[in-house]
Amino acid sequence: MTLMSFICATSLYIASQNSNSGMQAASWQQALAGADTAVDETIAALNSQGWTNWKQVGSSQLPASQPSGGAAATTAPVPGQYNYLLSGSNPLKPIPGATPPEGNTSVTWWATVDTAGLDATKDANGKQWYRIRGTGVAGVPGSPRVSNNRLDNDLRKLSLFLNRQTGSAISNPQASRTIEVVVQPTATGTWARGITTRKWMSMAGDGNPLIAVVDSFDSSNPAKSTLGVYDIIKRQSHGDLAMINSTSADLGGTYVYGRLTYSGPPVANTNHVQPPGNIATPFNFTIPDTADPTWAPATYATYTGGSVPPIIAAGTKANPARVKINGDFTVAAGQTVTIINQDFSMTNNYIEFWVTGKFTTATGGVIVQSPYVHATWYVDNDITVSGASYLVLRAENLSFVGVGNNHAATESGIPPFVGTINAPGFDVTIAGVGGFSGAVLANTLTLNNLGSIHYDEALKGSSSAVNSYAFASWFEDNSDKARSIAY
Amino acid sequence: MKIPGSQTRFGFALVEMLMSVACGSLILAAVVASGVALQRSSAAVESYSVAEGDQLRVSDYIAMDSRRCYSASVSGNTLTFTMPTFYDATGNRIDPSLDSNGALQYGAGTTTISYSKNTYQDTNGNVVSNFVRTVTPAGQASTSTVIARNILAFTITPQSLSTNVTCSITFPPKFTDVPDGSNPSAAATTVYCNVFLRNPRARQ
Repeated sequence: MTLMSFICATSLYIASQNSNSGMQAASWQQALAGADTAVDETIAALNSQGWTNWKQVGSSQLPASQPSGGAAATTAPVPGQYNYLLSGSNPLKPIPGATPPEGNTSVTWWATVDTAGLDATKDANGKQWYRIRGTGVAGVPGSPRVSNNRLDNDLRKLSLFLNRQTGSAISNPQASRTIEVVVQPTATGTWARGITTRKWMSMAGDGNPLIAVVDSFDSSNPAKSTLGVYDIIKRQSHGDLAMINSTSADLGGTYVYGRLTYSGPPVANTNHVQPPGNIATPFNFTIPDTADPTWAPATYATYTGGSVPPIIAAGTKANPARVKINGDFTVAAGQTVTIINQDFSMTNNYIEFWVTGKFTTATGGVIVQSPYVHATWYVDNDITVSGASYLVLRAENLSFVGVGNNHAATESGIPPFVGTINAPGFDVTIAGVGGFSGAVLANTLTLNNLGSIHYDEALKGSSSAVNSYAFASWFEDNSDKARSIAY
Repeated sequence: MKIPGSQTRFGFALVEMLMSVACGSLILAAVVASGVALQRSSAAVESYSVAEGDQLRVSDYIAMDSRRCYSASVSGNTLTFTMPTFYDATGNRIDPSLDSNGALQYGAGTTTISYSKNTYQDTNGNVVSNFVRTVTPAGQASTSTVIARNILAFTITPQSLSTNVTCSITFPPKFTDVPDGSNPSAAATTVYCNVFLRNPRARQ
């Protein structure tokens, strides 16, 4: 009988230990859900800039335990500050009067957000990145005893009698998990990045960093360009790409000196994004539709496609020259159209064209545009152009606005085309060996194997706002320095 | 002449003795059999509980490392996660920073964490397979830890190492016909782990 009692007692002890271990594992997993919630709440606050119930503390050091004090937060933290939010005392409290359940009934969390010394001046658009720390705390039901397996205690670092972070006594055992997320701002400016598409990008780069690349330069900065022109020796790494829907996207091993941000399924063959891993998601962004200009009567000249005069003068910035071309506009082989300046100011020569049909420059046809002039072409159908047929020095001097959907824009030839293409309904193809300097906003983008795209950082301006944040890094801190456990 | 008095002797007849010995033997046999059965049951329960703990632990470890890595690879049935150097040599957490090109970085170098089955022969000549987690911080020596003992198999299905990791670990059955488990009537337990790689840096 003694022997049998001993065996029975052992079995009960084992069952008890098993139950205890199971409860602890469940609580540990619940704590992660709490930490995730904390991060989600912070992302929502950053995206909406709504800081209701948040507190702001003037300290550059994040607290090791649940924060307290501070004043009501009204803005995102600046360097030397952090904001925090508490979940409340016990959001999963059982119904009063009900029989207490056997499992855990408490999951709480707290979140902090700060700038973490992330230097905004190093962001492509000078915007602030943030570090978010979310900590979830779940109660551990049952007796406050460690698992009978030491390996469990190495993994799940529970606070049974003392808080592991502060060393202070606690009344109830708890599991705590902390995750750290770094989020990058998504700038809303039309030219805040090199290439923005509604759908996929397809690139056929062959893994050669000298040809078929995406990178950047700054035509306004002699240290980042030569005479305002892209110079590979002065290459910059802000050739950022962004896709709203990355389905079927494939970078084809193209060297991209910049950040890739996207929403949707993973982008294929991003192994040459530089530096490795310079990728964030999601890309919450809306590309506004383009539209034809609304010009007052008698403020513009009208021609048919074949009757455009060979020389057209620009107007001023306040009163730009306006030309509407009904039907297709084609610069045929041997034909030259010249756009001249009305004075010698770099900032006061503007002209706008509205082509209701296709825009085409045939091989041997040339548009010569004065370097003083800023030209904008609104085109309602396909665009076919090449660097050789439309030569300008700076991208800010030439803009194509593609209006409508299901059209194509094709760039080809040598030398590189310089300008911007804002055509969110167009499928854009960069096929020229000379490549493309400027920026593109399109429905889809195809970069053929010898083409390159050099984003001109001078286009982004300084007024770009931030409308959302993308995850740039996700990390769970499960260290226990007292026990020399880091990873 | 004195006639000796009659003597009354008490005792069990042979038949009674035989009956009682037989009953006692049966009871003892029942007790012993019950004890052995209870002991085997107890051992199986303990073994089952250890296996369940191992399964939970393995699943939680892989899930944690999958989420925070920025790349995963498979080679020789070893699953390796690569992640930034989140801690310095003394175990302090490193703050993130942006490099001159605006790219996010933690500490220098990368840390790898690998999972594999380690099979060896113990001192009794038995072949033992353990599940081992090896951590190699940047610029530091590796540390291997057995996180599950006595596993049958570890299989990685590289479903898509750019989005998630799928792997399975098979544990031998615990409730068997014979104590050594050589002829199990119960099937082995296979634990599947399918984890989404949350770190955007994993998606390349």
